[in-house]
Amino acid sequence: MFKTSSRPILALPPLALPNRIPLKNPGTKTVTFLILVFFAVLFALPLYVMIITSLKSMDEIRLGHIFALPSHPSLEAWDVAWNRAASGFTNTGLKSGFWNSVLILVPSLAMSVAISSICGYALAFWKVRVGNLLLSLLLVCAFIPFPIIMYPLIKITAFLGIYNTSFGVSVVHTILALPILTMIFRNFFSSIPADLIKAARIDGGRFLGTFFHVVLPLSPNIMIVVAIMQITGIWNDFLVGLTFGNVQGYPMTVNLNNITQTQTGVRVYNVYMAAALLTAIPPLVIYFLSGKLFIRGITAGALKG
Amino acid sequence: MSQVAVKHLDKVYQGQTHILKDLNLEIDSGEFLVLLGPSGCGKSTLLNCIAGLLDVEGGRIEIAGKDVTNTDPSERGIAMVFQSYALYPTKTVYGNMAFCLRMKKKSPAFIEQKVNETADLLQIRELLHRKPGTLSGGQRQRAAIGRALVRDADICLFDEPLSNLDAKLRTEMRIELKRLHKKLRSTFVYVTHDQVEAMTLATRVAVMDNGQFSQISTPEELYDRPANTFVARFIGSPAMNFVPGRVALSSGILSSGTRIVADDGTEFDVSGYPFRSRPLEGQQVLLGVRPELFHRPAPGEHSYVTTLNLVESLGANVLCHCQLGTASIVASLNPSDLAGIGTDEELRLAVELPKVSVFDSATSLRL
Repeated sequence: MFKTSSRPILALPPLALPNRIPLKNPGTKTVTFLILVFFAVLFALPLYVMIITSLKSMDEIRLGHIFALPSHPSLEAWDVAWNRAASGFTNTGLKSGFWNSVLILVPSLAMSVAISSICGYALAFWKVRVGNLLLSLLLVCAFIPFPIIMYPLIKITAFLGIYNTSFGVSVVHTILALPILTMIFRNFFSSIPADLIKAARIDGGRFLGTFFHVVLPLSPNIMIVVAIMQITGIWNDFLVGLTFGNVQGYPMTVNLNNITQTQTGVRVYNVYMAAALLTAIPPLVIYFLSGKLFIRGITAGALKG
Repeated sequence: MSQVAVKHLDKVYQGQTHILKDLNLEIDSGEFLVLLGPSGCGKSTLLNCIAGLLDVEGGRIEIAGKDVTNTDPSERGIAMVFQSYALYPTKTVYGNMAFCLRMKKKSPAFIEQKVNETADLLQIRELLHRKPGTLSGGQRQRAAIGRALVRDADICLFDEPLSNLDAKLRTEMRIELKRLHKKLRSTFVYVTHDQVEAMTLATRVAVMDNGQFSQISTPEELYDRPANTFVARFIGSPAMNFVPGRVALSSGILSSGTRIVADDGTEFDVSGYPFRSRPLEGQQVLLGVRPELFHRPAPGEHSYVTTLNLVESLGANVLCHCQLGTASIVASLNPSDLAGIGTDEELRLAVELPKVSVFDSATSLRL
């Protein structure tokens, strides 16, 4: 009746990609290689232009050779973008926006992961009244576009007194992430053998005890996946920060927009490029640091141990 | 007083599949009760209901006289060993065994002493610091049993604990479990589909069929006096032979007692058979004969003429597939009995008739 697979329950699923099939035909090999290089260059080109432009002086930019390397590379534009660029009413550069983004990110990440993992755990293992209906509702919610519920959310946060605050932005991020994260956690937890949960129940593990002592130790991979999703998503968000934050608390993306959208005076492209790159660095760092883990995490969630 | 009592238990899956039907079972303290049956008969479901891992739709479950039908599994005073072992993969064996005591907020000193004691009992002291992933099947099994025993529960539930082990290890663990039960004197409830495990381990066996008990009795009783044809067929390997026939009460050629006349006219004298109620003349019955009840006739003993079709040698004995009238039977004989007899030749066999079983053809019940 409650047979799980006859395979023993090992520590964690083996974290390896399936073996790739080597290409035998040299012609196919070359063509495949060229196509891949072409697209890689195509996608890398804008990044290349941004980096070299940020290192040029305005005089050099005005020459219009956008692919040419800078003759006297300088980090002046990066300094301006970080410390002094004019955004809105102040000339404090991106650094205030950076700290605002961190201030928004940390609570959003903590709240969304904590709440959705517990909800997913409840839906995966415990008899929740109308649990299946809730799950279907979550699926629907995950696909509702944000602008549709923006106005009601503004009213709700205003009622709660957190509209126009960084914390309010965090709360909205948490709410928006909950449906999809809950489903991700629920599906991952469903792959944990039910016998383990039964054993924990007999051993006296209650709802939270079982979660912290048995389920959570099995979940580092999915936690990494969700953390990466959330960090990039929240960091790159513009609309929520603009709509729900206050002027002093705008996240880095809004800050960047204010710098680049200045309508008077010279358009300082080197500063704009440096500012855009600075804004993009944190998610990029996360990607490069955990790119490997990210792929491993996904397969771990998709395949049953 | 019975340790576990199951009263009028009903279990229905998703409002339609009736898995357990009005079950009644009393398990005494210190018993080794085996729930035996083919897959899908509901034996694991019953165990899970006793454990409290499944809700029941009707009836009640009592443990030590207390109604625990709606009590949390951890408060029923039970321990359980799972077929999949269900060891916590991220914890060491020590951590696995200590978990339930930690959940009960026992002192660290007590936990350490208790875990070490149990580990000594199962001889897994040297495995305590290892993770389940690094253990062999048998070691995992021991660790799983250790985790169950460490809490000193009065009742231990086993859900097919040996079915993932290879044949040799299974035999070893079987003996070990029996020894453990003798030593601990706690109540064991054990689910299996393996009749050998049931016969060797149990003090009492409950045979289940399709959500109901077919028979609850000692292994010997089960084997010698099966209550119905289901139990008769399920227990014993090779299976019991069945010869269909009719009851004849009036005097016949050989004797004046009660006889069973097979369809081909062969007569079996069952005057020494302890009928529970007087059979009716002409009643359709099945005569059940265990293979080892056949033997070579002594001089002057009444015997039956069979044709030997096939011989399987098991070493200690031989299984003879024979044709007795229209019925195919299997007889278990001594290898020396077959001296000089080849296949397709005549083999005379006598039957220990007082030990046979007689079942009503219509109801399948023992007469």
